[in-house]
Order: sequence, then C-alpha cells, then structure tokens
Amino acid sequence: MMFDLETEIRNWIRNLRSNPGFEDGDIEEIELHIRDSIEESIYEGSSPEEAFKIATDSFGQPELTGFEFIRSRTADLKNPRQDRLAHNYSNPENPISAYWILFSNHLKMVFRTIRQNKGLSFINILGMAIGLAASGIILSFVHQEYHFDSNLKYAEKTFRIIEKDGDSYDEYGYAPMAESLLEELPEIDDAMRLAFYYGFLACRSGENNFNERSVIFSDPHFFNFFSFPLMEGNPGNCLSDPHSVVLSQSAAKKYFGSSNPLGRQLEISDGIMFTVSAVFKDFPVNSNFRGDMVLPLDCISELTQIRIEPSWDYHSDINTFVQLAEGTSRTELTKKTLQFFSGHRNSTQTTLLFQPLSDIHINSQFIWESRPQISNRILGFLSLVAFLILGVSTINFLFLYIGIASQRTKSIGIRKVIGASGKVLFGEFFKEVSVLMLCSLLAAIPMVFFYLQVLVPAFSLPDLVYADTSLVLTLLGVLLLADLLAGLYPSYLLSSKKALTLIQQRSEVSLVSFRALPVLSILQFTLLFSLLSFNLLMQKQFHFLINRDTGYARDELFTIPMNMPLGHGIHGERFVVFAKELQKLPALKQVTASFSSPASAECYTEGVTWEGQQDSRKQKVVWSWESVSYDYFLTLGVELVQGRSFDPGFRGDAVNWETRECAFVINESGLREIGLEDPLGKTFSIWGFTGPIIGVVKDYHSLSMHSEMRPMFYFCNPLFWNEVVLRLHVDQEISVDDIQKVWKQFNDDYPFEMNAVDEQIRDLYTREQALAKSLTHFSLLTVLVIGIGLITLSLLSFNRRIKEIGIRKVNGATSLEILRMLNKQYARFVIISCVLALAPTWFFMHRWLANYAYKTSINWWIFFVAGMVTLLIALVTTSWKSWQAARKNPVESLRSE
Amino acid sequence: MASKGLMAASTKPLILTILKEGKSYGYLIIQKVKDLSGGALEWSDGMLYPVLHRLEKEGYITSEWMITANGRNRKYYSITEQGKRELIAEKEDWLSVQAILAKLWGTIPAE
Repeated sequence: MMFDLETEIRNWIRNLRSNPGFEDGDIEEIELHIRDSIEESIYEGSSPEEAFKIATDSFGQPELTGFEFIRSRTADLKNPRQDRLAHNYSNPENPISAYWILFSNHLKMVFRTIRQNKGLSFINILGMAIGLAASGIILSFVHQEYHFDSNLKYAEKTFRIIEKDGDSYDEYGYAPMAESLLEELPEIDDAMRLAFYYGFLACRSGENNFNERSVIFSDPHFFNFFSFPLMEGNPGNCLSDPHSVVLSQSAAKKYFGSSNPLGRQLEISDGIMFTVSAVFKDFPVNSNFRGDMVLPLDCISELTQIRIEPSWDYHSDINTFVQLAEGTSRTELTKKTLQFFSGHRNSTQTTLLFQPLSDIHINSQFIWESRPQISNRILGFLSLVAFLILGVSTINFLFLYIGIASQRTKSIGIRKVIGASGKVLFGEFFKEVSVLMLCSLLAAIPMVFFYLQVLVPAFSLPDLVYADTSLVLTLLGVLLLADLLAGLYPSYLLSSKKALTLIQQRSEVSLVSFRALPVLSILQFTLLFSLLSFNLLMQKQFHFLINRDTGYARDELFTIPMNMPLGHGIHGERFVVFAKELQKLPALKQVTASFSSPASAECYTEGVTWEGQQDSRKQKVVWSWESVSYDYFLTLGVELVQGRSFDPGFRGDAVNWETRECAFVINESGLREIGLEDPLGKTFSIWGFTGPIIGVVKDYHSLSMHSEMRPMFYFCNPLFWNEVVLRLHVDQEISVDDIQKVWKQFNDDYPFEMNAVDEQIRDLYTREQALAKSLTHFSLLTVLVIGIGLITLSLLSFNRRIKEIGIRKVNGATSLEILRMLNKQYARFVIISCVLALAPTWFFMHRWLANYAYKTSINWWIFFVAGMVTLLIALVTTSWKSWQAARKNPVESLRSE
Repeated sequence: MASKGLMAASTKPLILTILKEGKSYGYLIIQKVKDLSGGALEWSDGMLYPVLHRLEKEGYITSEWMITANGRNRKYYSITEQGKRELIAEKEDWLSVQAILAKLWGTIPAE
C-alpha cells in the first residue's frame, strides 16, 4: 500500500484525541510540532515515511505526554478546599473566583466529553428531548382537560346546580330558583341563569347573512359573573337592554368588518333589531362555553321556541350557576337545600348538588352539554402513555450515558490513581448528566413550539391554551428526579470499582450488569408490542364506529336547517307546499321534516306512560323522542315492523292542540320496554298528550354509537320541526342551486345551508378521531424513543461480544452467519416479549372496548401485525450495529488481547 | 546521557533561559536544547509540552497564538517578569550546587 503522509498524520492525531489528557489547543500545537519536524527531515533528504517515523519516534509515547498533562492539570485539584483557602488569603476581594475556576474547568471537561462522542451524545439528547416534549405535551393536554374554565377569576367558587330527585339527576331547573337561592341561603354569593340554544338563529347586517348556532341566552350579569374579558363595552350593563347583543370578536368581524361594531344594528330572526353593546374575546378552547353570541335571557321566547316558565311548576331549559361564599361546605349546603326545596315545591327528597365548573367537561353525564366531552378513561390512558414515554426515554438516556461513560473507564481509573475521590467523580458525573439534561430540555422547547404552531393546525390536533406554574414545576421536578437517578447510578458504579480493574478494562468489569440488558430489551419490546396493538385496535374501533350501518340511508340524506321563527317561511301549513315544489326536482326522492337531524336525535324525556303499564318505577326509563313529518320513515328508508306511519289522510295523526291528542310510533326497543304483545291501538301518553300507538318501527341508530339503542317514540308536531330532511338520488347529478331556488321562493330572507347527514355522522366522532390521531402520533414518538433505546442496548451488548465475534470469524464463520446469530437473539427477545405482553394487552383492550355500546372485535391479526412490526423495528434498529460487528476485521477485535 | 531526575530538574532553567533571549515556539525550543546539549540531554519531544503548560500555569511564561509569515498558526511563548526573577533564583541554586560539586571533585579525582 502507498504511504500517504497526510492520512498517517491524521490517524496519529486522532489517536491523540481519544486520550483525555489532551485539550484541543495542545493537540493543535503538537500537530504543528510534528509537521515542523517532518518538514525538516524531508528537507534534509528523508522520504516522507522516514520523516514521519523520525518525528513520531522523537515525540515519544503520547500516552506519557497525556499523563503528564493530566498531572499538571489536576495537581491543584486534589484538595480543592485547601486550594480555596489559599486563594482566599491571596485574593480576599474575590473569594468566588476559586469556585468559578473549578466550576468552569469542570464545565469545559463536560463539553469535551460530549464532543468526543458527538454522534452518541446527539442521539442521547435527541431521545430525551423527544421524550420530554411528547410527555410534556400530553400531560399539559390532560391537565388542560381537567381544568376547563380554570383561568376565570371566580372559577374555584363557581358551580352549576344539579337537581337530585331520588335516582334521577337534572341539570335543567326552575326559573325562579336563582333568585330564591340568593335570598334564602347566605352561603350563596351570586347566582345566574343561562340557556344554551342549539337551534339556528338567522342573523343579518346589510349583505352579511349567517346562521348562528350555539347562542347563549343569559341573565344580564353574565360577563361580571364569569369574567370573560370584553374587548369593547361595559360588562356591567351590556345585557341590561332586552334588545342588546354581545358578539364575539370573530362574529363582530364577520358582520361589520373592521369598522367599530359598538352601537351597530343586527337583525336577528324575523326582522327584530338588536344593538351591539359589547364585544368579547372569543371563548378559548378550554372553556365550557362556545358560540359567538350572548343575548339577554328575556328575549329567548321572542327568538326561539323555548319558553321560560316563571313559576315553580315546571322546569325550563335553563342552567343555574352559583358562586359560593368562601369556606362553604358543599355537602352541608346540599343538606340544607332539602328544606329549601320543600319550601317551594311539594317535595320531600329533592336536593341540589353543586358541580364545579371544571368538572362539567369531564364528569358530566348529561345529554346536552356545552362542549363535546372526553372520558376519564381516555385521559387516564393518555397519562399512562405520557409516563411510559418519559420512563422509557429516561431509562434509555441513563443507559446510553453509561455506555458512553464506559468508553473512558481507563481515564477514570487513572484519575482514581491520582487521587480523585468517589465524591469528586460523583460531582463530575452529576454535572455532566445535568448539562446533557439541560441540553435536552432546551431542545424540547422548540419541539413543543413546532407541535403547537405547525402540527396542531396541520392535522387539527387538540390545541393547548392552558398551562400553569404547578404543571411546569411538576415537569421540572420529574426532570430533576431523572437527572438524579441518571447521575447517581454511574457514579456509584464507578466509585465502587477498583482503579486497577478500571484501567485494565476487562470485559467483565463493565459498567452495566449485562444480565440487565436482555431484561431491558424485553421490557422495551413488550411496551412496543402493547402500544402497537392498542393503536391498531383503536383505529379499528373508530373505523367501525364511523362506518357502521346506521340502519337508514345515510349516504342519500341531506338536511336544511329551518332557521326562521314559527309562523314564517316554510313552517306550518306551507311546508306541504314547499315539499311538493321540491318533489318536482328529478334528483329528489323524498322530502320530510323533523326536530333534529337523523344523525343525532339527542332529545330525551322521562315520564312516558302507556295503557297496561304495570310498574310505576318504569316511569324513570329515559325515552328518546323525535317530532317528524309524514313520509319520515320512507325518507330514511326504515321499515315498519307493525302498523303504519303518520299519514295526512288520518286527521288524528298530527298533534291537536285543543284536545291534546296525537298518534305515536315507537321503535322496537320501545316495544320491548313496554312489553306488550299487541301494542297497536294501545294508549300512549307524554307531556299531557295522549293517543294510540299506530306503528312500530325497526331500530336504527339515531345517536352516536357511544350509546346503546334506546326506546324511542315519534309523534307529528309541526311546531317542533327544525330541519328539512331530503333524500336524493346520489347517482344523479345534484344541483344544490335548484334546491336553493325553491328555498328562495319560500324563505327569501333566510340563509340557505345544506348539510350531508353522512358528514354529520362523521362529525360526531371528530373529537375522538383527533384524539386517536394524536395518540397515534405520540405512539410513533414512543416507537422512536424505544428505537433509540434499542440502538443503545445493542451497542452495549455488541461492544461486549466483539471478541467472541472475532474468534468465530477466525474459525471460519461468515459475516452473514454472524449477523444471523446476533439477530436470532433479538428475534427470541421479541417472541418472549409478545408472549409476555399478550394477556395484559388483551385484558386492557377488553376493558377499553367495554366503554362502547357497539364494539369491534379483537382479532388475532392485530397481535400478529403488532408482533411483526415489533420484530421489524427490532431488526432494523439492531442490524446496523450487528452488521458493523459482523463485518469487523477479526485482527482488529482480537489485537488488544 | 543525563539521568531522568536531573533532566526533569533542568528543564525549567533551560526553557526559561532560551525564552529570555526572545519569544519562541515549541519545536524551536526543542531544537535549541538539542543543539546546546549536543545530544547529552535527550528529551523526547512530547515531554516538553506538559512542562511548558505547567510553567505557564505557574506564571513564569505566557503564550499567544500568532500567524507567521508563511501563514501558519503558531503558539509563541515568552518569559514574564516573574519568570525572569525565577531564572535568577534558579541560576543561583544551580551555580551554588555546581560550586560545591567543583570544590568536592576538585580534590577528589573522578574515577
């Protein structure tokens, strides 16, 4: 082989770098020295090869020089205390400088160690940073879910009132209750009522015409009570005028552009003018409240079909919120409300419960809530994933760090010989780990920002808007704990070894007990396998929920909100004319109307009675209800199993307000509930309406699949129609313009909006899908963290087996055979892990599925796929090192023996 | 050839003396020592640098990186005032030792 001077010099210098005695400046100086020497020899007539030999020979043994450097550097570090004292005497003005010199020296050494192992340190910092960022984000998210509306000024003393009557709970209350509570119970500081309206309100300002949903109707002191910040206007009086409206910032922009909205007029519903009195900052993501408009409660009957019953006779559709005086016991107060209630109603068992504001989002079981909810169990699962990620990344960090540290056992041994005590070494390792941890923390911060700024909007992931100091402190605490552990362990290992064994660096004197390595590998594979299986099951379940047959023609159905007030537009008798006009369109199959969209008929009631009802306790059964027009079942494509549907030919079918009579159709679950053999013609009654059961319809899913099939009744009440339901020939070209033209003929003033029922069904699961998506993302991150861990472990174990591989190769094994041998071991680990993980994973999957009324099956292929992917990840992460080990020239690996 | 101990002891006055004549860099210092001693003091080159490092730390010499005429970076060492004082002290010590030995060996012939 040709002698290449440059390469030889570079190799010689690289050899110096691996010696901890040399600093960068020293190495540069020595390199110049060698080059000077070589140049001179060449000038005097030597060949490059001879010149190199002369220069390096006369330099002597680099190890001795390195040793001398260490001695000159550590000479004054042997006894820092004495040194410090000496320094204090010599420099009384600056006693800190001695500490600083010592500290900066250590810091320099830390950075040098990191630089000596650039690649591995980078992987280590990256892995830990990913772990920190991911677990930080998940925990913050969980924390946010448990602290809805917590940033409001009076959040801690604000409660929603729930009425408890025996076993039944109701969030709707009596209209005069707020005032009476305030008067009669001194524990109550403030009380207010509000109604969430889920229908549509058509609003208009000039050309800007929109349907508003989720409007809040409230007592005048809404903004003082909840302290939502106002951008414009006065929180004290912005709702005192019954024709005032408060808009959100985005709604103000939508209607009035950039001009000042205060004092401007907004036309709501049928030409009723409201004056904009204030503008509030949009409700944040972590609020129970949503919508863009707050109106005075006094005008609710004017704009919607909701009636406020002023007496204690009936409930109204309002929620009552209270603020309790400091130091009030909720249980004591609940006891007191028994008496309060008996004073107003003829009741001996009704009490009031006080539900904390932050609890509404997590623990509420009521049907209509202000925001889609999230279950405790999903949050528990998320937290578990977060701690797994943090745990795995910390363990990986620890072992990779020890792996790096074990490459310099020799220098540690030398330092021990010189006199470094275990305490000094511990201090140094601790500093080193702290610096690495700090780097990871710093690297995690941009990752969190990347998640919030890029990933959240790009994949519509759950956003984070709420964090408090306790959370940040907890995370830092966890970090510190991990730091302590990671620093303690290697220091303990190193200080407990004898200097001689460290210097000899026998393979059995390793920093990690190698018995721990298979255990750790198996642990990581087990986690990987469980996580993958769970993810697969989750995706399968959501796919199942979204695509499950609902029992009606969901793909062909569309709804148009009837956003005009009663008596206007297509309400009442005119609906029939409108329907006839629509039927002329060729794409249209059927048209009908109903209270809510078929995707979610979320209306419930108790107190249903029927002829032959045996047990009075059955009154407690909750029924779903739907008010429909003729042809409803035909439009949906649902079969009647008995009797007939509502028919305009029978005069008694629709509600008669004078006699309070109407006909009822029930579903199969309802039939099972009432338990009659022959229900047709039997009397059925609810809310004072009475009439015969004329038909039984086949069960279909009018609710999200979270809930079981419920008993349901249908009646025909034109005052309760909110949605036009169309069934179209989807195979034909559908012209929305044609439908809109017909709409315009009847409802010129009201905005037209058409929604696909299929889309609405998908919307029922958006939150879950977002959650599933983010869980998948985080699981992928965990896989990455585990992958880094596996690389670490394989690195540690291959370093140990290098000699064995060398001997095998000398005896004739090929690289491929070695590779197979090494990978076989990992394949075995994967199989053991899968077997270990199978039962607990199956158990947890089963528990999780139990939350759903309709669930997918747990198939064997889920475990098979998860196992194969685990194996693949195992082989990919370990193979690059195996391949390196297998290819290594045995001369190199055996040389040092 | 001189013994290890003697060599180690003599490095300090040697280096300080060479630097007293003007600033110099590692390779040149070594060459001068070799030339002066005519091979009687055979240092391995590598041992010079830790000594320079220690002398600098003790405040007898200072160093600076400079760019030479041929564009090469070099670390130049020069003697400090403290170093000059130390050299005078060293000189006295060595001379007194030499005087004692000369007195001794002047009467007892070497074998």
